[in-house]
Amino acid sequence: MIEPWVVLAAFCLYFGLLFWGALWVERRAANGWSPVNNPVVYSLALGVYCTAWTYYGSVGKAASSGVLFLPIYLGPTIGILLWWTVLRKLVRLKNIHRITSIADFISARYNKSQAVAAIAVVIAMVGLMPYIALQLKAIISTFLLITGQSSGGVVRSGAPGGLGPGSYVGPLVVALMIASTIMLGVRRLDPTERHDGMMAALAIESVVKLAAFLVVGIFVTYFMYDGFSDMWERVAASEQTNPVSGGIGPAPYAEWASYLAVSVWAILFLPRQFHVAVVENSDEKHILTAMWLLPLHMLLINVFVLPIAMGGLAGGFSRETADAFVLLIPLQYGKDWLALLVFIGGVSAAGGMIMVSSITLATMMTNHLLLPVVDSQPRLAILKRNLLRCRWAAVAGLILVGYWFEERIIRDEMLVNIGLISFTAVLQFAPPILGGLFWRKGNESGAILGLCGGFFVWCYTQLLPSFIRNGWLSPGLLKDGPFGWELLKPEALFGLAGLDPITHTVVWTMLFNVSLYVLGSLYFPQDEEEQSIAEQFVGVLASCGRHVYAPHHEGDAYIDLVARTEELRRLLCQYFPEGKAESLLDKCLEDAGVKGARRISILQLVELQGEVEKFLAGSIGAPAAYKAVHQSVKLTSRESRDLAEVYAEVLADLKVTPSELKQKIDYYQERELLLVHQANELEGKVGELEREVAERRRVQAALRESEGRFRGLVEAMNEGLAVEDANGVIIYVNDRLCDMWGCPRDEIIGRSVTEFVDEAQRQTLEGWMCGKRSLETAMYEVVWTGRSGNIISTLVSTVPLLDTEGKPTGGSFSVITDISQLKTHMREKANLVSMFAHDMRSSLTGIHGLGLRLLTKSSSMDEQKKEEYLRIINKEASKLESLVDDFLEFSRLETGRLKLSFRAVSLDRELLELFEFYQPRALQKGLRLEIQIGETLPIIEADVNRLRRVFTNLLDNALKFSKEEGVVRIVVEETATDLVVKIVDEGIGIDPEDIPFIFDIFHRTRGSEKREGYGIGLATVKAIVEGHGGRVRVDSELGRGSTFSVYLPKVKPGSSCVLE
Amino acid sequence: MKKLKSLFRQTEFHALIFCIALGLLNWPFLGALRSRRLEVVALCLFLFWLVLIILLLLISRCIEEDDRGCSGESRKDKT
Repeated sequence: MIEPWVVLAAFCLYFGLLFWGALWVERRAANGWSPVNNPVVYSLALGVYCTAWTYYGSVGKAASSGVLFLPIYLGPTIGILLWWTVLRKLVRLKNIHRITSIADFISARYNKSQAVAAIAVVIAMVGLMPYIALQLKAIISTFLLITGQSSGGVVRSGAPGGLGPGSYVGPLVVALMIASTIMLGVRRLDPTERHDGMMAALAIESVVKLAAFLVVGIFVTYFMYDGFSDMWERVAASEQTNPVSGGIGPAPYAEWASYLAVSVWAILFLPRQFHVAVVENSDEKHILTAMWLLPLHMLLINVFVLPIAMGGLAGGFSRETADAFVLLIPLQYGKDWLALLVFIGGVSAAGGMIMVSSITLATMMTNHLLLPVVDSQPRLAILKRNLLRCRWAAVAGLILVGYWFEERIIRDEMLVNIGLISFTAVLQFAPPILGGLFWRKGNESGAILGLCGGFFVWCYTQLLPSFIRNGWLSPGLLKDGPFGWELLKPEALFGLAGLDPITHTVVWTMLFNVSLYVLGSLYFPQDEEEQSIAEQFVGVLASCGRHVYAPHHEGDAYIDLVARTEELRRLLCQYFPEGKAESLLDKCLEDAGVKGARRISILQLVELQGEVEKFLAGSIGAPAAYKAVHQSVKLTSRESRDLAEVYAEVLADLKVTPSELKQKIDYYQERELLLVHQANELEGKVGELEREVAERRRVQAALRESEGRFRGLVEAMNEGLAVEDANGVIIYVNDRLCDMWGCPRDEIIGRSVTEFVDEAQRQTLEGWMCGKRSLETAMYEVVWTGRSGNIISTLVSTVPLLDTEGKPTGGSFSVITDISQLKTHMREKANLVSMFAHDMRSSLTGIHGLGLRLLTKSSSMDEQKKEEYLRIINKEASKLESLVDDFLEFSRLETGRLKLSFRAVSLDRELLELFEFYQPRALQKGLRLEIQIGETLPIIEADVNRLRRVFTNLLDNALKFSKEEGVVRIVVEETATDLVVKIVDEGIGIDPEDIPFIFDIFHRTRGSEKREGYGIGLATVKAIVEGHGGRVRVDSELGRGSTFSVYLPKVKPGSSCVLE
Repeated sequence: MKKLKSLFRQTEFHALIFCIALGLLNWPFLGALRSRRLEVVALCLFLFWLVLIILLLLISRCIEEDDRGCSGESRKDKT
């Protein structure tokens, strides 16, 4: 058992979620896109046919009568075979007449008769009350059962004579149902009476109840038993668990056939089914999906009915409690979660039915019972303005009466039996509706007689016995008939005994209903308007729905539109708030094409009346709207005469008989219908296209953004990029390639890449292009000739362009990297290595020759000569050592193995030592060496030996390239962050073209005529200074001298420096 | 196949199946199941139901296809 508060919380949470979902759907629908406007939701919402009666009652029926529960679902499946004709007609007529309920439909067919509508409403109310009571009974009983306040079967919501433990459940369920029904279905007055939120809620409920039932069915079949085969075998072995011996049961045919016949039409003519299938239909094509999805839903929900029934009986429960087996079995096995799921499924099944039935009944009651009374009693006119509140009251009243019915009348009846009482009641709608759709002669009188006759017999044979069984009337009435007339016994009318009560009622009600309908229709003549309506209803699939003939002959515009508009405004204000009435009137004026006019013709007035009537019919029903409009806007004698004259004139002009005219009108109306149908389809397609266009725009914007990013990337590349089409024509190049080739983009696009190379290169390119259809990426070197004739060595990497399927298109894109400098570098490196080898060889040859001479001729050689030879050998060895040092340095730079050992130093001592060391050399070359240094220099972290090499290199260069009598200065400055050492000379300077590459390894300046050295010195300077976290820069002017500035950070970040 | 689709679209065919189904689910055909075991009766009825649903699916698909075809033709005519 589960705690009551847990069940209550689940109950409230579920309804809260449903309401939230419905609100979400309504908001979406208000924004122009309704999620429920699709066939699956429509089909699932139609599953409201499966109520608590199905959910709990089918198992009860199966436990007592075997497969006799099946015709209730097989009948609708058979009836659905006719839906493409019958339901389509109903939907089309609903759209034409703005039908809001089943009573409205019957009334619209039979001359917009208020009497017919009122009778239909009374039948629906009386007939459905037991059904609503049944749903309340199911919710209340299962609540008590799951919370352990009842032991199963037919349970009561309160102990007799006092407040039992579950006494609050009934009122609570009623209050919740009233609140949810008003919030989901009657929150506002809608001229179309369509409720997207409610449809969404119904669809969700259908899924939930189906899922819950399937879960419990699987539990019984596969956990209690070992599948279907095992179940049948064990049932066969136990007579007690076999619901019905011998299959269908005793004398089943009449009962079976009547269940089948009743349910064929109940699926469509139960007011809630009519509402969901017809009134809520937004597209005729949705019927096609519902035709197979709804029967499939019914089949699935019935697959496990027999297993559950047998599982319950096998579990030791009595047949009297069979209605509750679905819940009792999980409780017996201690599966509380499953029991709660079953309860929620049951609430879905019952709640959906209560909600839709009370909405439709409330609409019918206010439109066809209340409004005619209000119209006849001027004192009640205020109710017209409060139509919505009247509907709320009607909803509350209906559910409260249903609760009363549940408490006082139905008591111990089984669920299925209660449901069938309602089915037989709504069967009375079948003759007037089907006759109205397919028989032209069916008329108002016949419909009234048939409905009254059928309903009276139903009350006598079905309702009266229920009252007698509840002790309200004498049991003798049932046993002996009224006044002792046995022929009038309610359950054996005219001596027809031996039939079950349902079959008995079906036979007699249909006999009376159909006979009176046919006889009445044949006996009483139809008037012309009724004939016209009948023609339209019968031929609606072939002809258009507009029943007001509107020829294009305008007539004189003499009617004061302002006065007529005022009359119509007063009429609308009786039913709607002023603002709403005003907007509706504006819409009608616009639709009638008279907005802004001062005077209108008689035909325009008729058109305007028709528009107002259509809008009004959506809220108060067709008969009330017709009556209200024709009472409020009365034609003057001149207007009536003119209208008649216009019609006569039209007939005369056309030179046709009235019947021929009718045929022609039908033809044009049919065309109009087709056009409207096509227009609706086109509107749908346009909507789809608009959505598609919006999606494409979004994708295009994303593509543009992505393309922008890639274009930016491509333009920022240091490599050139060219895209060629299948013919080898360039279709795109980036700025870098334009710079590389020295051509503007316009001159490159449209030309072939082969035009930018010489003959030899052209062959290479063409060779590759011939094979570029392959998927391989190619890489090759190409030398281009720039516009100014300059030669550019490049490395080209070409990738074929692929289509969306990954196949080569014939085009390609190429990334072109300028390797001219690299080539030069490589060449110079090769030259230097050659020079190095040559220099080494010269020195080694000298050392080798002199050494050999000393060895072989030392005895004949004087000391002075020997000393001279040894000095030369020493000099050449020093030269070799210097060469080897240079190349070791180069090797370290190349391999990144240049290691620095830092310590805190002050450079003043080192610089002064260097100054002293270079002073003699400078004087020897006729130069003046100066130093400008502060008193105290800041402490820096440095590798002194390496820094000495930096300054040595710079001073060597300064002395080497200075002119005679020039000045070389060592200048030491200080900035906020750095110590700056500048070596300034007045030498030959550096060519500006060399400056960017001056610190590159192996680079030797062109100004250096002799081109001495290997181009390693300055590269070493740069590497060492950068290794100290500093930088080096050069400022130079050709012929005026150069300044090399070494910036060294004062303190290496993060270190604490102590001077050694 | 085209003829079969055309047959499935006709109202008269729907009415015929309606009558046949109603007839098959009544006496005397149902009497043939009277002496059978409950599981056999249930299986037969569910199979019959499934066949009806498949038939309904085929009918709705044929009508839908025809409807689409008509819309396509009318658009073609306009262009």
